[in-house]
Amino acid sequence: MTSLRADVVIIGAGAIGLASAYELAKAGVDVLVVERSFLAKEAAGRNPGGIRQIGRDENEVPLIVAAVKRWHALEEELGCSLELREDGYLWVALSEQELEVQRSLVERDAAYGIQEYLLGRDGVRELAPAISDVVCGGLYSPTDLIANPFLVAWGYYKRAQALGARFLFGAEVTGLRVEGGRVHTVVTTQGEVAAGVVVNAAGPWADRIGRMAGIEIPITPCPNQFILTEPMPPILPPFLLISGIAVCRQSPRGHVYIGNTNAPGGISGYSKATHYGELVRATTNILKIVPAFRDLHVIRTWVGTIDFTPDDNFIFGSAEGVEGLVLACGFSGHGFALTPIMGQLVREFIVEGRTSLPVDAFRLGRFAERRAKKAAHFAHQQLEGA
Amino acid sequence: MANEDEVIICRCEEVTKKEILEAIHDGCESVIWVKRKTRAGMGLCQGRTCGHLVARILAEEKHLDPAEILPDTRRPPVRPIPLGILEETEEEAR
Repeated sequence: MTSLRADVVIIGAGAIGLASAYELAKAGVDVLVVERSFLAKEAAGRNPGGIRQIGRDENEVPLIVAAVKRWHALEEELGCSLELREDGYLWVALSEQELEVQRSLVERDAAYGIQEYLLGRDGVRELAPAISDVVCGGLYSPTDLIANPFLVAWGYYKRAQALGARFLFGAEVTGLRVEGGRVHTVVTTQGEVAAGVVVNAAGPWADRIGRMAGIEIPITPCPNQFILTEPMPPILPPFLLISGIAVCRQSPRGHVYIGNTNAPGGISGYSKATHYGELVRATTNILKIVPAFRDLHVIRTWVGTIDFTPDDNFIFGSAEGVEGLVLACGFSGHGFALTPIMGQLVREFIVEGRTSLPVDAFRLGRFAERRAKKAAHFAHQQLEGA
Repeated sequence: MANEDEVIICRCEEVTKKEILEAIHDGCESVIWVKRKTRAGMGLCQGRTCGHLVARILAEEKHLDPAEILPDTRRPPVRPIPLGILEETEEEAR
């Protein structure tokens, strides 16, 4: 058993934890990452690598714009290839109403400098002739990116390590010691680590970590299903998004990825079992849109657990009530794209005590406040009725 | 043989023995982690050919009994199937 100490202990070697470790180590902070498995075991190594600017919650837009800027410089910064490409995203519209929603986003996002184009059926066909007439148009964002999640994880890991960050792999966190309202020790299966600050970047398991310090983090784990096919010559240039149903992309090597979109209300839990029904739902919808994929052979399926919060937005900042515990979790399926900026925000929050971008909308406290508001509203209605 | 390190271990993804060794030295302690770093076993045959070779290299490097090396996770489909098999026809949807 080891007995260690670090100024900052990060729980989780996923995308967010690794980027935070790199940023902190670069700033000269003594940082140690504890991870029950190894690099990018969960969402960070199971997502299809899309870096999407379109269709985001307005509070997230400034963050993704800043993240994209950092992504462009990241290969040079980390000194390795991340297979970063500007494939763009195409969010297909299946109805006129959906086109209207997309139209409103073009204007909103233009204010942040994101180029988005509303395409009609002809515009979509020109962009990707393989897409069928089922779609009536779509929102196209040519500057959205793709990166290889494994290369991103390794790139951050290697640089963080070179800058002095330490890693404890195969160490599952079993407890947090809190005294006088302040967390001071992380207890793991490989011994205890004394910590100045603890970062909870445990993804779908962040709620368990929270409970170890007596705080409630509302997370619903949802298993998302993926399919990978044999390669074929590229016919789908952009990353394809069918809202609420599926995503699809073709890799530089020509393999086709299909991922279902499964949110709370659908299947939940931590299961990694392949769910046939969900694969059928996603595939049926994708083949309506890109029929040319029908004869491709499926070579693998896998599952990734998404950590949904009640409002589908992530949680960032202090764990109100526990000093020294910083939350960076609940990314609800759109964390990978934010990786570089989240690392930066974690570093700024810990080192400078403030962040260069607004993150107030992502406080954990928002859930309790909304519940209290709802309860007050309900009580008021009861009184009126009496 | 010119250089044993240049031998291709994973034919689908063209991964050399040298890359496998580097991954092991970087901390990849099982077939899964070697795969996630090098792509060995991610191709068309899903490691059916190279899985045993990677396990053997791991056993040699780590001085372990090959039986102690965990194989890669097996996932459906057992053999490649056309995507169309997963499509629900309108008749089935009724």
